[in-house]
Amino acid sequence: MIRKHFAGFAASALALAVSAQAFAGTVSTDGADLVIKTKGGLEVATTDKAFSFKLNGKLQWDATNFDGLMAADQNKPFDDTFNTFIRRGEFGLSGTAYSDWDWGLRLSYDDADDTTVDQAYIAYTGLDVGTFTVGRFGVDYGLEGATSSSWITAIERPFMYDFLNGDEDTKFGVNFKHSGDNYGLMAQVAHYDTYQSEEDGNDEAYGYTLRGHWAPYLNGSDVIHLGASYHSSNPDDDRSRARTRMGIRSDNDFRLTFGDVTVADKDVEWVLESGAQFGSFRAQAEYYQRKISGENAGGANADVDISGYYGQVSYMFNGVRGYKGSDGKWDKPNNMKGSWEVFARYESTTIDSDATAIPGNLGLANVVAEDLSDEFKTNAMVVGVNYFATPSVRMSLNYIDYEVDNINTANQVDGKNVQDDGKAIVGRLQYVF
Amino acid sequence: MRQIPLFLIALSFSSAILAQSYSEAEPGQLLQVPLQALHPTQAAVGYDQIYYKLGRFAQERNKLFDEYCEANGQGESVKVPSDADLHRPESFTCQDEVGTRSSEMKTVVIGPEGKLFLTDGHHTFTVLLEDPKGGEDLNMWVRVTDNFSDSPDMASFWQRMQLARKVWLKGGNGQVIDAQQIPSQLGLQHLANDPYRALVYFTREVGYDKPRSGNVAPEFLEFYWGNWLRSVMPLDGYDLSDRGDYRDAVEAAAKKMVALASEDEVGDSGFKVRELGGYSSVDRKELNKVAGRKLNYATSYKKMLAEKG
Repeated sequence: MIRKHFAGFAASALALAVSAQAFAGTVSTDGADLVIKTKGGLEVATTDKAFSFKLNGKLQWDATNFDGLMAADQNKPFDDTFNTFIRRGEFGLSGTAYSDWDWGLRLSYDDADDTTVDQAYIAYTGLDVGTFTVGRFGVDYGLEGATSSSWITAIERPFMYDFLNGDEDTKFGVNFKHSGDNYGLMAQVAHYDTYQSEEDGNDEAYGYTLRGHWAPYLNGSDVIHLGASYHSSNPDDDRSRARTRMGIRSDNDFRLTFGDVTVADKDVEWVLESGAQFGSFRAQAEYYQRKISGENAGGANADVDISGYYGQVSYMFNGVRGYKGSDGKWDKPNNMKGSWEVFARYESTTIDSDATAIPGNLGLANVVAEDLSDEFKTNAMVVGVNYFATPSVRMSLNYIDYEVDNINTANQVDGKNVQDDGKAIVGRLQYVF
Repeated sequence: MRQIPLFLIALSFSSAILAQSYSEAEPGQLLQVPLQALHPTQAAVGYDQIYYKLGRFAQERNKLFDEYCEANGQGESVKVPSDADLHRPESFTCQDEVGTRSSEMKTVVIGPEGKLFLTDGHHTFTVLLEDPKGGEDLNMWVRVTDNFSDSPDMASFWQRMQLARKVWLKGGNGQVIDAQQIPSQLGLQHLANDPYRALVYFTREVGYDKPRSGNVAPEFLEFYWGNWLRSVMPLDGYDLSDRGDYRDAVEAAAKKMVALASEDEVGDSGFKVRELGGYSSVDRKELNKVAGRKLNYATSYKKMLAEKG
């Protein structure tokens, strides 16, 4: 009976699609009555919501002009560099079957990683205690990490997320989440692309993740958010690195590496989250630590301690940001019909690597540490503006001023002195449906 | 001095013309009327639903204009400048012209003497009436569904309304009332509170949804659910000023709804579960969304009212 119901639903949906293609006049269903929503993507559901599917997607085009250290690997090192690229192209299908079984499949493209199926999961939502998700999926980790890339404040998340592993999509995992209207608890065990365990032969290494969040104050759109996230990568003698793009993406995808532990036996990190919104004013800050322990390729002890934070303030004209209390993350603005948002963010991270863990170069020949016994300090100031033209179209412009301490600027790359700072202007056009 | 009586004569004359023009209104016709001209066809509303909207509009100003535009069948608001005023529709813009989406408009039946009886929209219009930026003199567009102005008297009018299921003759506690006990005006000071009506509003898309395909949703659909819930689920154990408790009540109500089979009758409503849009299982994601947004605004607004005394 249920199978017939499902078949009827599928046939109706197919008939609908075919009819739409052929510009036919009347669409009928031989199964349950359907509700079709076309406002943002396409959603078809039976009236009792027992079956549904949704088609949605996202396109982000970036243009960036940058110089300094992050342009070290360009044809003219450290000079002004202009790149354009597709930052994200996503096309997803998700839905519900038999009331309590959710599923999702997403095809994702970016100029660096090409096209991948980055989400393929099923979730069981039929228990009061919480939701189980199995497969490949994104995980909510940290406040800005949990917020959708469509609705983060700046064009890129703070670069502290480059140094974190817990926000990576799973390769295959099991996630459990219990949530209420203003809190949530999550636990997850998963395999990641990050490692393949050498100690366990050809088996992939796994990691586990925990997150708890709570909004002690929730009054309309005014909110105070607190949270903590924890992740153990369990590298199992695989390689673990501390790398960052300093918030600047490029065609070459150049990254600085401040710590490289070739045989890592421990890789643990945690994040403290805080955020608040009162009226149109919003502030947030996150602090994190990560510790990688192990040996370098020569067998010497090699530890890397990373810690950092960012603080960010923003103000929205003609709207306020949404907040998902049960997920502990920011959502799209409540008004996207010509609303503006301005923000400023300061971010800083210190990487204290043993001399044995500092790579021979930091990502490019001759870009090296000035003092192997000293720590690296990275910081950036980001200011920007967002314009939400329609619920589908967002335009953003960011200015980034960054600096890295403990870079040997006496060295040269292609005859040019190594620089330890730089600037960037990044623009993005986004379309979501 | 002579100007005042002349003004009063002119006013009564124009009212007579207004009533006359309403008497001749035909089904499907759109009328622009001040909220104070609308007569309720139910004695109670769910105060918490109204508090949710008032709380939200106080913080999210553009949503108030969305509500106004939608009720006029104009889609959502498009441009809402800082000096936009509901009383000056030219000061902001909506997606469409008035009545473009007539099925989304609130409906009236023309009664004796051309009086307008509101059959759908008691909550929306009470919100607009109670909102500081609205008021009883706010002009809104309504769609005429029936003209019963030829009823010889009010008793026969109400009889016709009852036969057409266009009046809800129960009070805030579910007690049976006469049509004469229905207040003559909208507004929280006139309409009683039915907590089950608000509870049903918050379970929308959690345990049921208004049927949007196939048969048209019955008027007073939420009252049918609410009246049944009143008989199976006491609210005494819930503190409805507490968001967490309210969430529990919504969840419990939704569970009661989905436990019914689709062919079961909902209480004594005469309608089956599927006709009232009942789900087969609770939508927990929607429940969290409702609790985090709607119940959040409703309970915060109630708290503010309590603090004001």
